[in-house]
Amino acid sequence: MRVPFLRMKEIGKRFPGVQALQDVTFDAFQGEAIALLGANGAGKSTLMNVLGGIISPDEGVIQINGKTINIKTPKDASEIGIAFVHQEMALLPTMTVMDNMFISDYPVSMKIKINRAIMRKQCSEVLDLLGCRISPENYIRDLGTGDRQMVEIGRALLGQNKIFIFDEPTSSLSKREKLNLVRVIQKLKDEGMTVIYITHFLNEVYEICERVSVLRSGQVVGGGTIEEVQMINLVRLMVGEVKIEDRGTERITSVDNPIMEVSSLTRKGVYKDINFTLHKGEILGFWGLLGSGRTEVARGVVGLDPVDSVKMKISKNGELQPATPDTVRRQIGMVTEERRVDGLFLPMSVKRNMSMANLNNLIKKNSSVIDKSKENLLCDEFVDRLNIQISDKEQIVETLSGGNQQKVILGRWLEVNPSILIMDEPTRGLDVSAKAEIARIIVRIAKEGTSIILISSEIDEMMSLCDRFLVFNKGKIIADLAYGVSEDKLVGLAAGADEVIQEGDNE
Amino acid sequence: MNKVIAGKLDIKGFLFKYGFLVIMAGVVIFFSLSAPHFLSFTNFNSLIHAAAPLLVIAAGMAFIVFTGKLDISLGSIAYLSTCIGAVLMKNHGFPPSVSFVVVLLFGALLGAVNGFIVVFLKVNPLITTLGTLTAFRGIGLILTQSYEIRMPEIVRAFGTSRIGGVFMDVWLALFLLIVLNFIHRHTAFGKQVMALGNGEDVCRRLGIRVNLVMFTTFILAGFLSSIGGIMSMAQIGESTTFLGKGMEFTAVAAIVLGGISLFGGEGRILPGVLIGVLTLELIRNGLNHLGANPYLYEFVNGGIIFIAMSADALKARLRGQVILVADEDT
Amino acid sequence: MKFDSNTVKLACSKTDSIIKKYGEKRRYRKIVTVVVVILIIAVIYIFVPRFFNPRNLKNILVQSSTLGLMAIGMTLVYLTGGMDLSIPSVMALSGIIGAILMQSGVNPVIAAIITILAGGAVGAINGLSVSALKMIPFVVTLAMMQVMSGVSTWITNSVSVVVPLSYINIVLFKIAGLPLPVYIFIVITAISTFLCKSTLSGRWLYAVGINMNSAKVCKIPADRIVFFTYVFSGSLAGVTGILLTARLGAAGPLMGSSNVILDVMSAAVVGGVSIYGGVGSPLGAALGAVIITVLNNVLNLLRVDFFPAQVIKGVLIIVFVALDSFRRKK
Repeated sequence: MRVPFLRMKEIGKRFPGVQALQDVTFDAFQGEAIALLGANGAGKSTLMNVLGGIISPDEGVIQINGKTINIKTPKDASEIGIAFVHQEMALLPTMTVMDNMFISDYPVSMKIKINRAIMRKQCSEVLDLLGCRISPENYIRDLGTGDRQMVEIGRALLGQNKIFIFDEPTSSLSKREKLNLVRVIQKLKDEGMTVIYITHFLNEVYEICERVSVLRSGQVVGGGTIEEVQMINLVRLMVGEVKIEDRGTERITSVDNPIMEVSSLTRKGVYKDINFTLHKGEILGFWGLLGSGRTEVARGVVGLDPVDSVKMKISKNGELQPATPDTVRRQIGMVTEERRVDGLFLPMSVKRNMSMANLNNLIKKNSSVIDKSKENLLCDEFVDRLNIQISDKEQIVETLSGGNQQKVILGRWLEVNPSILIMDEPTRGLDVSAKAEIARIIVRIAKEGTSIILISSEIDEMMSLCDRFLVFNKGKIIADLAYGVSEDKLVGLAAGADEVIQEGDNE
Repeated sequence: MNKVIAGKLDIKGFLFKYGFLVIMAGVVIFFSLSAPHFLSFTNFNSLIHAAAPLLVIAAGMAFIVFTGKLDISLGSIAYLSTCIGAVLMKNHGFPPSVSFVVVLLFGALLGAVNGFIVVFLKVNPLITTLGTLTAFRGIGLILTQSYEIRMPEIVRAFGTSRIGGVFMDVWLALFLLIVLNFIHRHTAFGKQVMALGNGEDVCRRLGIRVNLVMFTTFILAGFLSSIGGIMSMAQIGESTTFLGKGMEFTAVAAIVLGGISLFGGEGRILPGVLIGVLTLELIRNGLNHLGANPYLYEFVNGGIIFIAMSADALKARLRGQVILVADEDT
Repeated sequence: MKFDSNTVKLACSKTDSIIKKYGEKRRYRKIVTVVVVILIIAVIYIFVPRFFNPRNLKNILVQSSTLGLMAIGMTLVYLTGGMDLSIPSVMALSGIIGAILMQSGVNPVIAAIITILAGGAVGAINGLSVSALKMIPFVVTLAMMQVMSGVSTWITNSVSVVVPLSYINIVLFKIAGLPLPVYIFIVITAISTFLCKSTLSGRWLYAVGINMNSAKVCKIPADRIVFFTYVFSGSLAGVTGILLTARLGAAGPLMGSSNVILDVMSAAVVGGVSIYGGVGSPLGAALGAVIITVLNNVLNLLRVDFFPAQVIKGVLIIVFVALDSFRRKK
């Protein structure tokens, strides 16, 4: 058997509350591209962060050509020749393309002076190779996301790198840019480089890679050459056999009970002319890739980000009537994507976290003093109803597991009982049983009459929960599909499949 | 319609880029018209002479500001380090040359103290330098028992000697600015200082040695402050208790007027610092020529920085808009 | 996989200890403050018995009342994660405005009201700059401090403005042997502590300080809250201006010299308020003010010079903030 060029051996990593990686062994050879697949939270990023020196593993070793090496910092990784193209771009907006590419390793003449000529030459070469039409002297802040991504990729191509990690590089690229990237990766392979490719798009795997490795819940669950594994198998491997709460076929199909209408919602440069209607008790799925505008639109609807234009209608006595955005927004609750960043108050107690959105209703009459007994009562009720596991309601939220933290946020909104609830990735980073529990709660809330907008990257979860799908691509809604649509079609549309599909006729 | 918008954007872009030049030109024109003798070589020569220490200290501050931080103890560093030199000369009979080397070393050391507290103890830089602002000055006042210390003749001569009609310290300040501008624009250190202003986490991911760069920047600023301190001491001819007082604040004002953003990562040493410092000095000098109430200057100074900072904040907000999807219509 | 009871037990005790630790953390700050107070009293008792002279004690109470009011204003700003360096200079300016009004024959009560309003108005400018323009609080209020002290020196020509005796008699009216300011201090401490701990706005205040983003998601009017904390601190500075002017018999720009801000910050920080937002209470700051006043008083009685005292305070702030940063990291 061939000796792998890179071997990550029996890697283990624990984060508070989660076993992120467990006994993961990952091999990569020279002159090939290997796809690293897995659902969100499967451990792909953690594994690559270990390789990139951003996270140090609890267990396991990394070997190159059979020799054990030590990677403690990103600098170690780059000295070994590992180039990491992050999904979350690491760019310096106030500096030029050139500076961004060379920032940690400038070519210098006479020991100190930066050699601009060499920089410009190498930078232009790389940009040409990528088919990118920007100048090395452009400032990053003036570039769009596609070009920014290209700069990020260009940085990896500079220097003497041997291993290239691409973490979802295509999600913000246009078709032309994507083709160029595929060509560049082919060239890297021809030169004997090792490419590790992380993606959500299975068709890209077949286009680019020779082998795949699939992670699920921090463990390797399968892999092999692409001839050996079929696409169907890959999906099954990624998702696993655990079925998330499925509502079966009892979906809401009635369109005669609208609760909110949003029209001509625009934010320049982000999304444009978004129109949709939400019905009572409906679970409406916003489906699309990262950066497609699904999250951005949701944040625009609730007013967390500024919008350039929006018109809103809300149901009053069963009929839609125009209303100011502020009026409508008062009836919308929002469960955000990153609960630690803009959801929870980590050092506060469970009780305070849960009552935070509802304080206006918890004050004593004609004063602004908080009615503590009422607060306790409500908190107890929802801790009970949502089955939140806590020692007592004064427990600090930071000490809870992810699933319980998410339930605290759900409890916060259920206390308010808004008629519309937007949930952005409500199950991200949770274990399987917590996921199922959250899904059950979502179904229950909808049954009780709350209208829900659900955003999730997991197609599976979307398929099992949503009544209807709005597909987002590049800041626009490109399709409005009812329950029953195939998984392939949703995935294809989100990835920007060529044929524009008009689903207007199934109304 | 489109053209109108394009025109508007251009004006905005122009003001972003050259607004500070416009302000300086305005100041010069205003005082030239309203104050006789304002526009003369003699006046300009003495004006830039008075500004020389501030030029050096503001340049040091600029490096800190590029990283997105502030060091408001620079005036106190200038004071304490020169106090040490003055005491060495007066009480211990050290020659001026040796004393000044010690002063420079102490400047760097005091900068290192700030850097250590900020970088390794992770204390908010503003609080740190507010603390050291008081502590350093206090130590200096204890050392000198808050007396003025007269400089030897040779030092005083340096403060007032000229080369080619221009004061020596002006040449020195300009030389330093050119060197610092080179470091800022043409060395890896300078670029990485700018990178820090874009966010430390990103820099860490890019493999920049964030702590080292930050620490070095504080040392550099301390070192430059001690040079500014020496220049100031030589000009006055003695170490006074007021040396460097409020200078850090004036330096911040100069920097903002020079188009350097307090949010970090933007601006240039040349011409930015030069223009900022000169604008402030022109205003002070012009108000003098107009015979204005001397107490008015502090207020005008404060008002200018307040307005300049509002503009800076506004600018940062307008620039902050991220382009996610390129607009297909254009 | 084998499940032995030991691991389970270990896991349980671990979570228990985590929970306990967090419960204790809250008490921890209070305990620290109390221990510091006891230690200080013990040391004082041994070294400076004169301290316990009733007249000295009364003096301390009166002095802490002005410092305490400013510290309470600062605390509210701190709770949202902000900073208000302009408090002392606003205090001085509003005191001066009140004094000038009274000199020109305005009724003392009306003058007092205008004094408070003036403070609040300056606070409103700070608040707008921070909440609407998104400027950096430290820098905004630093500039404001400069502007305000500039205005103070300018309009008074650096000469104190004397206030009428009748005014002094009203403000320093004694009840049960203690002058009115002490009672005002106690009442405002009580009200603001209640406000923070038990009301809607108080809850919002802490929420904004802990996580601005989460607060916005919860539909908390975060910008408005931030704005009002600055108005509040400005108004309290106005109140302090009234009391201090009466105590000194005159109002002048030196009343709000930059040394005062160090005392205000020390008071809040020593009183367990975090400069990073979301932690602390007005009561803590009030106690902190008493501690700082005692410290000043003792250093004074021990004939420690002013400057070493400044050094001690500068170091004190850095140490307390470093401890706070350190605790946060854990």
